Amino acid sequence: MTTATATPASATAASTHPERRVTFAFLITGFSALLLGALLGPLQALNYAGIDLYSQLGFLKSYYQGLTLHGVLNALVFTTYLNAAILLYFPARELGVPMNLPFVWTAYGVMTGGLATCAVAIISNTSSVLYTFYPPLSGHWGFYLGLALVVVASLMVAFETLRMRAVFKRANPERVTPIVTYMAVMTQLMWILASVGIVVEVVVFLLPWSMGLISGVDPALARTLFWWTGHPIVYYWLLPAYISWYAFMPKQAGGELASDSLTRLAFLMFLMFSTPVGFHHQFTDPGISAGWKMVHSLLTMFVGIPSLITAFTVAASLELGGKRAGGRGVFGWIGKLPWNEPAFAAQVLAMIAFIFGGAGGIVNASFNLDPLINDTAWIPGHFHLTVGTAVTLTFFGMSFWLVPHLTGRRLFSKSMAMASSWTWFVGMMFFAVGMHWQGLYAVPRRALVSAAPEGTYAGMIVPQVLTGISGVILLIAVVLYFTVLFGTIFAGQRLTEQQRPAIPFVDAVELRSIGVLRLLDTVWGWFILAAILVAVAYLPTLIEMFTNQVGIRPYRLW
Amino acid sequence: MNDRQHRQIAAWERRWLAFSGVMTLTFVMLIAYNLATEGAHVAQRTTKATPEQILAQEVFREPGVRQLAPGKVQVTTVARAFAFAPADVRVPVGVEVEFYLTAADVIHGYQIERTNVNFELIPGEISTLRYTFRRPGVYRITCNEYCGIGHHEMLGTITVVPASQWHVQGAGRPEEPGAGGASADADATPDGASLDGASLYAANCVACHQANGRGIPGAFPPLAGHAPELIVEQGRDYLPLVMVYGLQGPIEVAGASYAGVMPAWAQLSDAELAAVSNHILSAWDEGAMPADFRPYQPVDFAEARGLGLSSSDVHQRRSE
Repeated sequence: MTTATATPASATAASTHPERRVTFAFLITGFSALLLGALLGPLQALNYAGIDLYSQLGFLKSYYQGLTLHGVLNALVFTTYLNAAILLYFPARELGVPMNLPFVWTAYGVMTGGLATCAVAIISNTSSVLYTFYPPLSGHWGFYLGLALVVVASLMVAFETLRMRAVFKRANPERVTPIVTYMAVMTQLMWILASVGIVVEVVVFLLPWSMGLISGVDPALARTLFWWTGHPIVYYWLLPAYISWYAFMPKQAGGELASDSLTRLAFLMFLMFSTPVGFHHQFTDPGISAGWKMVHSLLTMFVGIPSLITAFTVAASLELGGKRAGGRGVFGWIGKLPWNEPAFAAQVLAMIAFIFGGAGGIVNASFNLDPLINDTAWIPGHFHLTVGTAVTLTFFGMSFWLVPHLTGRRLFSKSMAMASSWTWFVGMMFFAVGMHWQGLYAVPRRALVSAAPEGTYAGMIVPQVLTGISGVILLIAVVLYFTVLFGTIFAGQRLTEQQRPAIPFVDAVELRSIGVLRLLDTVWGWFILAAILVAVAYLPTLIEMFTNQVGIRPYRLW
Repeated sequence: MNDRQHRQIAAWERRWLAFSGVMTLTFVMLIAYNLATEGAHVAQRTTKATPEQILAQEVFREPGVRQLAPGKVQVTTVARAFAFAPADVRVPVGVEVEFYLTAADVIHGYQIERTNVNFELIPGEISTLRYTFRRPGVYRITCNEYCGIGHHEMLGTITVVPASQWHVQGAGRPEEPGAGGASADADATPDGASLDGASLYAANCVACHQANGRGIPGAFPPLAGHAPELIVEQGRDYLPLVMVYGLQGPIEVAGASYAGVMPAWAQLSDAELAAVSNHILSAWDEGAMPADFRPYQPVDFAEARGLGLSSSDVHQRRSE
């Protein structure tokens, strides 16, 4: 049986699409957060080259305050805003279902109010607790309130994605959910399940504790709730990038999606296996039994499989495009890909980085390898490949067509866009090599190592130099990218409605196994199954922790 | 995509899925094999209680190295912002070492370079792990969990020596420190030794109070200009209380308010506390002290230790 599912409403895009404005608001606020956070990045890199520039800065009190700002803005704020834009706008356009604009603007307002509250707390140096904010180090209550509002807004966005799908299904009960919406819905369901941990941690414990309403918080319980959310949040960052890889890049390469059902299976597996894996961040915690750590280690290995599926399906989809463009042989098609298009090239570079990031992730997830590198410089080396390159560079690539699409302005400079992508990629590769290498020498992560006693970290000149160079290259990349972004918005040549780039939805995918697809489409059933799996993986440990709490008072040690 | 392409891709897809599955299984089996043959160096919890209860345990009152039985050595350490007590330990090579560690204030990390010894120290929990060093040498210990402004200065060493060169004074007694190593054990520091207050200050205090003694406005109060004032206003007995028990509660110094925490420094010896106290009174404020002030002696701190106060009691004493 062959039916077409993807008939994007953009085909009839004569109307003005009022949802563009709110999408652009999310996008530009997120990128502005990235700009501030990324400008601090080179200081972090230079610290790991043994150079302390923080003591020269007037407006930041310490390296740790700067690092808190860097982590919160880049890892938590930038990603959440971009996700809101991607997970609302593309389903709305694919389904042709109008967004509930007042509700979405309210979500934007809540998120931005949270961001402002949190920013004040960090800038006043009352909350230099880093973006993992482990108690008993205690930030100002405004820090926790701000973060809670950002999470609440992200859940409002999730609700709206699900509502749009429900409207579509009511109107078309016989059709399976179109592919982009399916991926967005699975991402949001995963996030709803994943966010439970951080919501409980912040609302039940940290917020009242920092306000003085409760006297103590159990640090082990808080850490465990944090990592309930803390690992799947990386998939919440990654899956919107995957949506672009699956649904837009094949079209940009002149190909098509190689397998619709395998794409859905990959997202289904992310829903199932993203959350019950948090203990692999706590292998070195004393209060969790070795048996449960092993279970989470195994489940973490399973969550590698959907990424391996992605590698196959996306590569096959691009190969179809490359061969259509005349590429021959096993590798000949690669040269035929649109390498001169920054919107495409940036995302291929993102994928290459993710191969290394994924390999390092297998090391982190391995129960017996992790102790060598846990909480060392290896870890920031790792996640600057995954979220710092794979996700961020994909968002760069998307912005090169999405910003012109949303604003009606031509891309400011194609060559500068290309240069920014390559410098970001090369800079991050330097950073990753330098930091992974230092991690093997047991240099701790997130420490002002440049001010450690003389000779503490001697004999690692090469990785230190690599890390230092990366900071300089990445600063250049930041300047180039944001020149392109703001140049496009403020100085880009105006485009007519017809000249705006269309959303590169993959062409109507031929569905060859409709029965399987209907099974995959019972999303709430899968959600319940995922919730049961999380309960099995977490409840025995959490119940023990809840019933055996030792409350510790707040400390401020910075 | 025509049907031939589709069949081709589907065939490769199946192979790739099989490859992915086999690879993942191989990894899992390698982990299981390694755990079964090498044994896991897994941090375990032995106790959950309040930090005060844990620190009152015999082994944590005098943390250090003990010989539990022939061929079995125990290292106990208390992590506090921003030092390990003791910071430097010696253990024999080829002998099973049981690490028995806790944190007194916030979460700290404990990682020994080039080994699998890497674990979280969580206040309210005792972390334990067994490890046998195979090669002699000096290994760096780092706190690898962010614990505050002095996190990067929280370092230590573990010196692994041939068993013939290692000895303990007796069962249950901490081992004597190596030459030049600062000891956490009050008895081990010879009385009357000329301790250098400036280097003690540099090792323990600069992270918060800064090298120039001016602190960090809004976070850590200054000592320069303030420490002599304390002697005048609070009397001679007050400073030893702050050193031994810490200080918790809002204070005001030079017009600025501070809501942070001064950790207790009871792990330093009486002689060390006296040396560093005399240093902070004289380093930046020459001549500011009352003419009749006698420099602190170890006995001043020994007396303070006998009082059994809490950091909040010290704060109350200050407000009175």
